[in-house]
Amino acid sequence: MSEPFKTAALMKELMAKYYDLGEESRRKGIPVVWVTAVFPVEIIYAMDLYPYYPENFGALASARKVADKLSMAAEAKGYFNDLCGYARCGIGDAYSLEHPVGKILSPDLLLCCNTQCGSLPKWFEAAGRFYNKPYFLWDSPMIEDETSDIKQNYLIKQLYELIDFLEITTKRRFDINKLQEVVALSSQATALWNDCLEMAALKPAPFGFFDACIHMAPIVVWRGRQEAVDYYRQLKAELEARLEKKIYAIPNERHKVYFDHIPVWPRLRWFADMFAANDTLVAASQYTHAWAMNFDPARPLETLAEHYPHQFVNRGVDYRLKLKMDFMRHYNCDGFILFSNRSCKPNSIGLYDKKRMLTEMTGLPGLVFEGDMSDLRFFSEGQIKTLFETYFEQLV
Amino acid sequence: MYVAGIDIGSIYSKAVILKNNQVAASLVKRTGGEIRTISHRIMDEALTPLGIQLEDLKSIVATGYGRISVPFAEKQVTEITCFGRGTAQLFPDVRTVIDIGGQDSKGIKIDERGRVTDFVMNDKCAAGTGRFLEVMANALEVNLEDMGPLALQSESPEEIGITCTVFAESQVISLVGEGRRKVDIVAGIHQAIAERIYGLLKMLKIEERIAITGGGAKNIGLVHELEKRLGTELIVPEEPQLIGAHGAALMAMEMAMHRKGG
Repeated sequence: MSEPFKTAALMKELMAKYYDLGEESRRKGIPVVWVTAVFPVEIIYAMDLYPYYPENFGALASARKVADKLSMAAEAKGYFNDLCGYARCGIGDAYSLEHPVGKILSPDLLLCCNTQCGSLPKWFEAAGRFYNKPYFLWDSPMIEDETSDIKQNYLIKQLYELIDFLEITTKRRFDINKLQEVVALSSQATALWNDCLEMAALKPAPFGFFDACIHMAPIVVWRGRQEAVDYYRQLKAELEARLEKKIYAIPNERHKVYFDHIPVWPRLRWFADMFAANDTLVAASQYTHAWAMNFDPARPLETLAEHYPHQFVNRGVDYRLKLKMDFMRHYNCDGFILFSNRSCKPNSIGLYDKKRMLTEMTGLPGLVFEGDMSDLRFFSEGQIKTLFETYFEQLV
Repeated sequence: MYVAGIDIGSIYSKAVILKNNQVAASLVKRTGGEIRTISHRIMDEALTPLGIQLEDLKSIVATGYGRISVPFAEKQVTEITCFGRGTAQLFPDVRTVIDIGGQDSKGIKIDERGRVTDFVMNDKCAAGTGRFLEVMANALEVNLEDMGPLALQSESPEEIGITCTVFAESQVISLVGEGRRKVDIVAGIHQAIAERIYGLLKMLKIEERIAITGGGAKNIGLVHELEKRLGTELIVPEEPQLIGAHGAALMAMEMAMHRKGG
């Protein structure tokens, strides 16, 4: 991981502001809307509602190493420890009397898109019953390869239904011009985010995946607001300045690898240090690129329907293999890491086959490791260390 | 010129001393207690008959799960890489190595120089490892060394589920309680372990010839079950537990030669 960024202070400020805004919204009676990470939040911002990301809460609890405690509170209620770690954190916190990372903000409405997985809708449904609040699902069909008009129309029609749902439940007017402005801001921020991620292609690079995992918080929660644009403009400027001063993400970059997925949050630093000690930069991941979208503000609803459901998790095997290979080529990677994440089944299916196919197609060595993005009860340090060290010995 | 490889495994620790590429001494000792102490003790025991001391070794490479805690090692290398190297030197035509150690089992693909080209390892679970066999031998009150030969005597092995060591152990205890034949239970255990390891190996593109190393290779019942599934004869080294330490010693020799040459 790079030495601390000046921008980090701004991020701290921005995140505090985001959480304060949640409390303030609750006090002022502005509806708190639960949303999934890959959801057209622009509609919520355009209606001056407050979007809250329970997945972000899960990631925070995971990074602070309390996912197991929260999970056990959910397990005591009958939720299996094999479910998504974020869901176990959110559900556990709702049932728990102790809140080690602050109490999860309860929703007035719940909006979910099933483009990421099948667990999120179930979690949101359960939360809808628990808090007794209305729930809306933006149902996305699987988009194997190319989309079709039928699928596109289905997605757009549902966005109209979503707007009706929001107008009725919140008694606020939706304004398409306002949405256009929000989408334009979103587009600026996602483009700037992409510019920052792109810097990892330089060799040596001033920015890598582990940095991106820290700096992604604003693109998730502030996307659609000026705050995100300002933040990534500043981060990009800082990265450019670092390049001039020859400050790089790791001290001695010899190799670049592609990392397929969410990091192991409670071991982010451990992984970052291990890669750095082996002179290897994790350059890219489809995960951090999920918010590097390119919207067309002139067609606000259409562009949202075109981008969000087309994320990698909702695509077929061939598309996903090609995407990984494109990243590897673009970032000039010497190998790739596939994370079999106990918490995230849709991303962990078929990894050994994918590894074999990717190696056959690219000639690059790959590694599959097993663990959990949230919960250290499913993390075996000795075995993972041996796996990775063998892999580094293979790269040399 | 003397060099050494030391392999600190979860159950056994091993050392190989090479003198000009020939094995001068080797030792297998149960790991227990503090690794630093064990490392010193095993080296002393291996070196004393040779009349030399630690300082006389030109290079030492440590491997195994305890590799980081060996205080006198010049370098740490993972056991996967070491097993690859060790096997290739002894059996140059081997392309796949099955290593069954105390806490993990591994499949390792190697090229003609013993370089690792691909590998798999069991996840966070003892099922399918040496530790599993130990637990089962204890539950059955059978000596670990007798497990393999016993398994070969069975004509109708019991079905043992092996998703988890703890569950399998209670299943074995129940079978004993029901008065099932010990040989059939033992055979069932071997089938289950072999199935598990075979499942792991299938993640690799298995190529012949195949060698089996680690403590598990000393179990004739397990070797037999794996051979049935793989449809080929496995190469079993004379001292299968020493291959990792041997590989480490070869790397130590390389480092010492490099230094000498440079």
